[in-house]
Amino acid sequence: MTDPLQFEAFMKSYQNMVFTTAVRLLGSESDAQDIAQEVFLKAYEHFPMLSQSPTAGGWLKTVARNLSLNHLTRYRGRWRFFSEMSKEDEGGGDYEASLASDSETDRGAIQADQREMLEQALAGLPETQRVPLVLYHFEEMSYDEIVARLRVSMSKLKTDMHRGREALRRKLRIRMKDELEMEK
Amino acid sequence: MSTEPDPRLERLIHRELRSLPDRAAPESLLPRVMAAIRERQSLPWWARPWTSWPRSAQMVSFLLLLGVLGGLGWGWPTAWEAVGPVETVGVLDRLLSPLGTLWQGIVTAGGEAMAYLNAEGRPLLLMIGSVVLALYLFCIGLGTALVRLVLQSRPQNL
Repeated sequence: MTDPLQFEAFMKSYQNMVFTTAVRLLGSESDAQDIAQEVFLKAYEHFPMLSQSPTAGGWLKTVARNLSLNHLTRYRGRWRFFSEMSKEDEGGGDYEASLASDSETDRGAIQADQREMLEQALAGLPETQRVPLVLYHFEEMSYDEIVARLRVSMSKLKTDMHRGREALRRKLRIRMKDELEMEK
Repeated sequence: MSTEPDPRLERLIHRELRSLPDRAAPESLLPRVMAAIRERQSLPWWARPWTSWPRSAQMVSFLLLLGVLGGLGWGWPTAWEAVGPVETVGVLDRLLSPLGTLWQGIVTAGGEAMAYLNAEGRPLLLMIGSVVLALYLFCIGLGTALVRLVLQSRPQNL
């Protein structure tokens, strides 16, 4: 029988990591909270094993990632069923337009809170760019693994990731420009 | 536009992203999960997910499922071949004859339906199948439209 207090302590240790994994993939805090709840309910079922395991964090991260990707796949499938129009690039256009519109004010904000800006910039990317970037940079999956998991072609993946990185670069252009010049 | 990864840009983005700390989970997450756990625990064992059933119940239910599937897959075609549709109505008639006139009416209607299906069965079945398929597609379409309406307020997910 699982001790609720012990499980609460376990959850407190890992809830930020699980929530972060989900929110970066999903781009939505409410969806991420639903997924995190699902992850911990599964963890509760396996708690006797997880509480003794040194790889509990990895297990939780993998479950959070898989549930988030399944969630995205499910809603994307429903959305596109009767739709001929691809929405993939709409978010990117809006995002870039927003960059152009507030480019001057960004400068101060980026310097003031670079991490928050980057987090917001990542969340603002369209799903087709955000998801592979998160899988590559945070989940440490290779291009081949991402292609297989997302069922997209390698060329589409590279295009999306390139666009995503470019969008982030534009958001962080001040600091990166300096660093790129230093590397030359 | 070249889409090959730019190693310098990739490295810089990687470093920037990896420098981000974990986001703080909402304070409501822990109470939500614990409430869901308490709710599950208040359910009887058979109403919980199968994976959390007692081991003995899992074994019995698994064997039962195998028996049912085996019966359907192997026994049903054999029985159907041996008895046939008309005899089936007869067997049911004998078994349920105590129910009296109501059953007689059902048997008569069933017999007529069987005879009609034997004569005109295929076109009728096709028609029924088409109606069911059309209703099914209508439900999917309606559901998709509703999901689309709901998700319009959350464009960042799409």
